Formats: sequence, C-alpha cells, structure tokens
Amino acid sequence: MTRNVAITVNGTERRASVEPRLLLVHFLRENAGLTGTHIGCETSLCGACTVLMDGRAVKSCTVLAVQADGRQVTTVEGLASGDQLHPIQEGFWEEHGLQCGFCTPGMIMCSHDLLGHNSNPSDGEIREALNGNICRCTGYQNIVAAVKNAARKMSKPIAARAGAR
Amino acid sequence: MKQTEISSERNSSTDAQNLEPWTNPTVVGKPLPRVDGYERVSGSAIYPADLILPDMLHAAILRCPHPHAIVKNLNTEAARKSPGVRAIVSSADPEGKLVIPYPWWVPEGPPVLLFDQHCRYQGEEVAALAADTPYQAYDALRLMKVEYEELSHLLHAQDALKPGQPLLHNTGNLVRRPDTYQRGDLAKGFGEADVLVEETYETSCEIHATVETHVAVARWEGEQLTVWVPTQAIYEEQKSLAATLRLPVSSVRVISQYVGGSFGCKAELSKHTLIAALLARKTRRPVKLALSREESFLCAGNRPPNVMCLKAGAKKDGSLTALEFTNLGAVGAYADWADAAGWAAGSYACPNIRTQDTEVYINAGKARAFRGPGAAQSAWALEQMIDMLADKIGMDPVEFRLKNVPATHPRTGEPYTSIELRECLLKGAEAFGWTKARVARASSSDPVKRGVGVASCRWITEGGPPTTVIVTLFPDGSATLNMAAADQGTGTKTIMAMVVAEELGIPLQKIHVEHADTGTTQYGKSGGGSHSVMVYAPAVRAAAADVKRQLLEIAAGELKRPAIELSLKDGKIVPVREPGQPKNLSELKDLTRREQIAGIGHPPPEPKGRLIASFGAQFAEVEVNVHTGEIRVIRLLACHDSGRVMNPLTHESQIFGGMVMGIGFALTEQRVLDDHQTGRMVNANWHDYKIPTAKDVPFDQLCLTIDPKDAECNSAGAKGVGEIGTVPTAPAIANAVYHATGIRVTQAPISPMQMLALLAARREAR
Amino acid sequence: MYLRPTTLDQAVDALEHHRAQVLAGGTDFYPALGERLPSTPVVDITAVAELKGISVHETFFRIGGLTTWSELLAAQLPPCFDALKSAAREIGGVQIQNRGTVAGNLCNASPAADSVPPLLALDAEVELVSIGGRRGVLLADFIVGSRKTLRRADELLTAVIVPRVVENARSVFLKLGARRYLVISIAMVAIVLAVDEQRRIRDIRIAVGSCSARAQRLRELEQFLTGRPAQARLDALVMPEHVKSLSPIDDVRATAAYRSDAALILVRRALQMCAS
Repeated sequence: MTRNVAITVNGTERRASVEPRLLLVHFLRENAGLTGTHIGCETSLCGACTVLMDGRAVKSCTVLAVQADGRQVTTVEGLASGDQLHPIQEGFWEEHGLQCGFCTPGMIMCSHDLLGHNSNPSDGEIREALNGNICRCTGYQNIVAAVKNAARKMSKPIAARAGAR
Repeated sequence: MKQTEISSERNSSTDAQNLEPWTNPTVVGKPLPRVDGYERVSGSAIYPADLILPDMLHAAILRCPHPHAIVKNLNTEAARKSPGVRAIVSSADPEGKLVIPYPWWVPEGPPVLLFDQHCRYQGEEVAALAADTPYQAYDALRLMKVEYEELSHLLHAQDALKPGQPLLHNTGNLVRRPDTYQRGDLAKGFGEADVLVEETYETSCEIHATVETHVAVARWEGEQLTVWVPTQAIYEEQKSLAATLRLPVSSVRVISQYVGGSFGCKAELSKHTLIAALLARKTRRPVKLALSREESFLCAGNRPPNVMCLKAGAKKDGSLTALEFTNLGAVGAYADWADAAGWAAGSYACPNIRTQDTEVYINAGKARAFRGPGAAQSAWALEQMIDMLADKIGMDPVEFRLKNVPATHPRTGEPYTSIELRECLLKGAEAFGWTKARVARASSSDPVKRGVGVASCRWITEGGPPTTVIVTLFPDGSATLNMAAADQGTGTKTIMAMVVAEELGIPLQKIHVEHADTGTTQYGKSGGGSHSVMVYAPAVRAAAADVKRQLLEIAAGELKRPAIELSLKDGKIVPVREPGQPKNLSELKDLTRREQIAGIGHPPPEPKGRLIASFGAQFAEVEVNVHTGEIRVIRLLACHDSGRVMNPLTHESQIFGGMVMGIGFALTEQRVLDDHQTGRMVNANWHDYKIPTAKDVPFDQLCLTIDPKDAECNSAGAKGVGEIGTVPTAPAIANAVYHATGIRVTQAPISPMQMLALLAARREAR
Repeated sequence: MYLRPTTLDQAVDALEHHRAQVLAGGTDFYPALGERLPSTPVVDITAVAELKGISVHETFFRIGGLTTWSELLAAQLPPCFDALKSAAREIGGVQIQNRGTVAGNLCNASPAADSVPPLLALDAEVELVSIGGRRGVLLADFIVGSRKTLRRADELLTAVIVPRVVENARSVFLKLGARRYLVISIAMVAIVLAVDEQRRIRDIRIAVGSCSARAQRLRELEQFLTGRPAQARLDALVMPEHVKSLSPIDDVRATAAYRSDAALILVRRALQMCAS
C-alpha cells in the first residue's frame, strides 16, 4: 500500500507515491536524489541524517516520509545560494571542522538550527546543541570553531561579508 | 578514464628522487583549508553509499544470530518468490565456497569461506540476496528459513587454550606460535632492581565505529568488474577480488572516491564486497550493498581485547633494569593480529627484556588493524607500569621517562633519523604546567578529586617504494595529480596538492587531485600505518620536479637561456635575472604543441641503517567524583614530533581526533558479549556502545609540535601522524585517575561502576 | 495500513476501528520498527492540531500530548517545571527534542524515560480519550511496568495535567550515565521542594527513574523530610534504607548495586541543590 505525498525539498515540491514505512532520509536520497544527507545508524543516534523540517533540525531517519507530507524540508544541498556557500558551510571549510566529511552535513544542519535562535553561542552552548551528532574523526574541537566562525559571519551584514571576501 | 602519455623526452627521474627537504617552503607547512572542502560541506561529495546507478539492485545479507553454530538446513524458496527479488547466493551455490584471501599483513590463517556452514561468530554470512529496493531485500531476508545447530561458544582469550573448550578450527584455537623476544638477562635485571612491580592489565575490544558504515557497489560490463568501495587500499582490494574470482587483475577496477572514516577497518577485501560482485554478476545489474550499523559492529573489524601481565624493575635513579611483558590477545574467529608485548621492547632503553605475544581465536567478529594496532593496548599497560615504578621510587613520571628515552631503537640498535621524545616531554610538561598541577590536590572533603597524568608514545613508519604517481601540467597553468592514495578524511589530497603547488609554483586552486581508482592511477601503497605522507609526499614531489625539469627545458629553448636561470613562480616562468619579465606558460609554443607535460614520481628507498619513527607525549587532567565514580577529562595537551608538519590544520585535527578516540578507549568504549547465555554482543548500537560526544571531551585541548628538521627520513622531512595521536591518551588518563584518587585502574574502560567499586574496596580494606 | 487523521474525533475513531499503533514524533517508533513493515495499522496523530500546545488554567497546567520537548523548553513556565525542562534537555539531542513528544515518552514507558521522574514529582495526571469519552489517570498509576501502561488500544493520551499546587517550588533533575550526553541513563532523580515562611519543608516530592521497572516516588523519605528545615546539610539525613524500595536490575549499562549507590548519591545531591 502506498500513499501520495508532496514534500517541498529545498524549495521544490516533490510528489511521490511512497510506502508508509519509507523514511524521510530514504525519500531524500533515493527519490529526490539528494545524497548529501547521510545515513550513519538508522537508530536516531548519530545525527548524520539531520535535515531541517519547517526550519527545525530533525533526524530524517526517525521521520517517515508520509509525516513530512506538506512540510518544508531543507537539506545540506539547499543551503548555498548558487555558488555562494552558506556561512556555516564556509565556517566548516575554513576552520577545518571536518575530516572524512561524512558527519559534516548533519553537523551543519544542526548548527543551522542553533544559530537560528542563538546568534552568538558559547562553546558550551555549541557542544550542547551538537550533542546529538557523532563525529569519529575530529575530536569536535574544530567543529566548535567552525560554528563560532559562522556565527561571526552571520552577525555581520551581508554587504560587509561580501566585501571581506 | 584518462590515458596518460608519458613524454619520450623524459630521460630519467633519478635526479628528482634525491631532493633535499625544502628549507623555506611557501605552501607546505601553511594552515590551508582542505582542497576537497567544498565537496564535503556542500553535500556534493559522492561517497559509495551515495551512488545511484541505472537499474541498480539492493542487496542484504542473512547472518547467523549465534556466536557458534552449524547451518543444518537453509531454505530460500519463499525468499526467492518474494516481490522484487532478483538473485540469491548461498552455500548451495558453487560461489558459496569461494575463499577470501587474507590481506598481505596476515601471512596465514584458516581458510575464510564466503558462506561457511560452520558459523564461528555472531553475524557470520549465511546467504545474501538482491532485490529492486532495500526494503524488498530486507522483507525477503526474513523469509529465509535456517535451521541451526547451536554449538557451545568461546568468548574469552583466557579460556581458549584450556581443555574442554570448543575448538574454532581444526588446527585448534592458537592463531600462530607465540612470538617471543628476549634481550639481556631478565633474572639479572630483576636482581639489580631497587624496586619491582607486577601488574596485569586488560583492554577491551574497541570498535572502529566510523560514521560511514561499509558499503560496496558492484557493476559488470562484460567480464570487466567495477567496484566502488570506501577503502584505504584500492590495489589490495583489486588483487584480492581478482584472486577470489579468478579474474585477471586488469579485469577488476576498484574506485574509492570518498571514504567516510576508516582507522584501519577499510583496508582489506570484505565479504560484502564479494557478495555485491557475485549478485551483480548473477543479475547482470549493478548491486549496492550497505551494511547497517549493527552489522558494522559485529563483523567489520575491531581492536582486539588483550590481557597483559607485566613485571618490571628499576633502580632508585630511575633507570629501568628489566621488563617482562606477556600478552594474550583474542583475534576473533579468523586470523589477524592481537599483539601488544613486542611493542614494549622498542619503547624504552631497558637492557633486559622478555616479551611474549600469544594470540587465540574466540567466537566473535575478527579484529582488523585499528589506529595504532597493538601499540595502543601495549601503551595502556606499559605507560601505567612506568608510572607505578616512578611512584615507587618517588620520582616524577616525566623525569622517569626522560631517564629512559632510548638513543637508538632498543630492539635493533639502529639509530632513528630523528627522535625528539625528550623535547616532547619537556615542552609538553612546561606548557601544561605539569610541575604545579602535579602538586595541587583537591581538598579532602570535596568529592571531586583532580589529577594529572602523562604518557609517551612512538610509532614506527615506513615510506619508500613501490608507488608511482603522475603529475600533469597543462599550458594554462593547471595541473592534475594522479595517485592511488584515497583520502580517508585525513587530508591526503590537500597535502599532496600543496606539494605540487610548492614545487611548481602554481596556485592550489589550479590543481586537481584525482580519486583513488585502479582504472586511472598507477600502483601505490595503501593509506595505512601512518605512511601516506611518507610514501606519497616524496613521490608527488619527484613527479612535480620531473614536470618542472621538462618545463624549464622547454622554456630554456624558447627563451634562449639556460634552464638553471629560470624559475617557476605564480604559474609563470620567471628569468632569475629579469624577474620583472615573467612569461605565461601559454606563451611557450612547445608546451602548447605538446598539450601537456607529464612527470612521474616514485618515493626513494628508505634510508639504509636508519629507522623512522614519530614520537609524542600527552598530558591529561581529570576530575573523579568519588561518590559516583564519574570521570571527566577536563584538559588534554599533546606535544608531538611528527617530522615536518605539512599542514598544521590537518595535523592538529589528527591529534585532536586521536585523543578523543583515546578518551573513548579509556572511559567508555567496549564490546560487551553476553557471558551468561547467548554469547551475543549486547551493545551493537551507538546507544550502548558509547563513543564520546562533543560534551564528553574537554574544551581545553592543545596540540604542540616539535620539528626535528629531519633531512634523512624522506624528501618531505615528514613522518607519520595518523595513528600515534591515540596511543598515549588512555594511559595518560589512567595515570591522571591514579594521581587524583590513588587508585590504579588496570582494566579499560574505567567505567563509573568500576571506579566506584574500586573506591569501595579501598574503603573496606582500610 | 497508515492513517493520518487531522482531528481528535477522527483519531479516536480510527483507534476504535483498528487495533493500531499510535505514531507521534516517531523517535522511538522507527528504531523499534527497523526496516520492517509495521505489523499493525498505524495511526499517525501528528496532524491533530488539538493535541498541541501548553495552556494555563485556574487550577492546573495542561500540556498537550503532541507538545515536543523543544516546545516545552521554549515555554514560559514556573520554577516547579525546571526539573522537567532539565529532563527535556537530556532527551536525545536537539533533533530528537524537536520531534519527540510528551505523550510519546510517557506511552513508550521505558524505565529510563527522562520525563517520568519530574512529572511524577509534579503529581501529574494523564488525560486519555477514546470514542467512549475522557478519563484522567494519575501518572503514578498510568505506568504499570517496563513499557506497560494503562492506556487501552482504543485510547489516545491527549494531555498531561499538572496541578497548580507547588508552582514556585524549586525543582531539580539529575541523571547519571557513562557518557555525559546521548545517555540512556543508569539512574535519575527529580525533586520538587516547597518551603513555608520559616523555610521548613512544606511539600516535597522525590522520584527516581531507571532503578526499577517503572520510575517511582520515595514516599517514606518524603514523609521523613516534610516539616524539617530546608537547610544546608539536608543531604546528610538521607540513608541507604530510604532508597530500599527501589529494585534496580543488572544490565549492559550498569549493575544493580551501582544503580542503588548512584540513586542514593543523586537523591542527596539533588536535595542539596533544592535546599541551598
């Protein structure tokens, strides 16, 4: 038995007929072909599959695609505008907040949730916010630096940022 | 696929092989962000799991739920009829008897059958199938009916050689003859000692737990097989696949474009890769097989558990007189390494030593190389033992270590190309504020006790041939680097692009590094053993130097100047005497006519009679709550000699990552097997197998370095850094716990429960 | 079968006619399901707007069953809810708090459910609705064992009701695990403590989780402490026999003995924090 869903992913509405057990993460990867959202555990722990649903970070391995029907979903592919990376993406790149990069999209999306309601988080607040995301490579040190870098950039007006580049 | 034309004008690359390390590099050594950063932050990096090929099927594996059982009967009929199922492979097929070769570093072992009816570990492969969707594959798997005869199981190394225990293989439970090493006279050494200590240490089985699980995508085109796997070792996997499938090596192509972490668990051919290839051949369609997190816990490698008995003696002046180190390690159900003792023989200058490593089989998933294999376990025991000796003679642990830093390799007598262990200890101690922290103690009424600890480390690295890389320069000043090294996440691509930029004077942005792909690259050593930089940086440098030589020859001809008077800067030819008149490469007619210049590079042989090793010291500060047994690491400082730091960003990140892995090893990580009944792993998930999160690690982490200016190790002057960062962390933490509480915790991990039990036992003893 | 009602009436109607599993935030649902097809019909209640939000009434607070932990954390609530908020911060990571619901955590009834001890300490009651009507059950009675509740298959947990009795009481939640975060806890304690004008303990509730098949209140200790001055060394009054009613088990996370020790220490520590 399948069900019709219409999910707006990165601004584009995608319609599909899906099994109710299909996870949002599989919908994004297999149906929408957006493979930047990774799968690390499928048991809601590692956070590699984090996306934004109506602006808030969720683990897309614990949301069924049918539950996202009619909702707005943003994946890591939806953050950049054209060639211009989002400041959080720039932060992770510039501060080397990544090694193998597999957890990175989830880290970035979760940081997006954080910076959405806390524009100047402390080290502790960043670690608190990212405690649902596991990284096995970096030791988290540069990830924290990356989020701070992004917070600095995002607190500046866009024109100033563009000029600084 | 790129065809590289090798210039006939190239006479010899020997002169490019004997380059001296750079004296004033302009690119190498700079904290440059990753060249593949865009792909990784934008989501556009295509890991093997992300591949979507036309008509692709999805495979799943039926696994034995018992640690030890015989498959009496397997019925796949219902599964075969399940919707979407396209092919099944099991022990009933001739392919089921295929034997998977051991990787080169495991010289021998009992044959590993693809589907063995005698299942020796929980999760052993019993059958597999491919279906149109992953969900259909899982549905069909549940329809397979298996009748098992459960056998009694063996879970602990200590039991393996006792009579009456189940035998895993008809050769018995001993993996290989125990490896014994001896120098000097042990009895004499103990006799000379002023103090003697004896202790038994245990480490737990640690799982690599990379965030990306193991995956394989296989596709056949006629008799040509292409496999996409996240692997450290494309050529090792190619060779093994070809041997198993009885194909010419040239018929197998292995591509490793991105690797989502490895730490040693992705360096050999896995059964799932072979299964994907077989199902793809049966169906003539591409097949993807991705392991679940649980599967990766059970059968994708681990750091084997060790039981280590040590006895050591020292004089009052701090010199070690004797060390006896006996290790028993459990490799799992098939052959691998679980050594630890032998490492200790090379650590400190100690005249009288005997070490013995005994390795046995148990009914659990097989070990694989894991970041500092053997060395991390060995350090857990030895570095705590050193502290015990220092404590007993009332000497500072840093001073004790300084006393025993070897001048040459204690086992072979060979000198190191460089050794800055002494400086690492001194500089680290100073920056950490060791002397002061060592004295300060929390007041006795406070349940939270603070302490500091130190441990040192050493990792032998080997560079050298065989490896071939090609650098290609185009007239527009862009270049391609073609090499077999996969970037496991450590930054190999970035560092090698920096070497090209350094040598050719072209900007990093104009250098493209190709993926590791046996179809497009030349043979190169796998990424592992911390030797990527040691093997590839000299090779890439030689290839770039080869390009430069050819380019300057062309320019010399056109500019009517000797090549020696020309240099390369910012992508232009600059005459040394007229730096104001640079020439664009595109203005060189000969270059334009040739379309490109290709340079070939190999790593020069290792220096003769010299050993290359990295060294380091790490310092930890902990808080122990004596009411709850909770331990928090509040500060970590590392000081390492890894030779030249090619890129401080990637170097530091390796150390931070290694230290945090060490926190897990010391405090929380452990494979738990159900001793009482089933013998199964009870924590094959990330809820109960606890790796550190961002809040479990200290905010205060620092990485210092010492550059020995090693001109002998290789033309990059760099030694390895991948493994060593995790080796001393756990014993440094254990030593800090001792300093805080006076309790020596010998068994890793130091869980709050264990801590509290030891505290209670001490109270009772008083 | 998968149903997604948009009103409470539709939802209870669906539950009446199908022996269905209720799906809310899904944070426990999927990990338990794996890749299998659900064996029963599923009623996904996430589109039922009536079940969302927190409201304040004359004698009680009403927390809609579909309220997520993030919503609870963002709500303006008096100090007696501080323990519940601390517990909410411990539930998974931010992503799980954004999805996981109050009703889900209670109906799942894990012995280690973070929200249960603070809600027990608030004397919370759950509201259950079926086609036959509405009933209230004390949370202490609602959870009857590990993963067992009094909810009938045709009922929906629509809200949690918290009486406005100890609104300005101090409250504290403490949790112990081997790892600091993403922890399935080894032991946890919630305390709500109200004092009178003389700073004597007027009302105290102490609840302990993960140390028995269901979280429970330490009633004897509560009685023992009531009326005593809320002074600095309150923790010294707590003795091992006060936690004897707990019945912890050995499992992969901790031994029973460790859990008992930990519970005692956490109770003392939490008391100290409330009293100081």
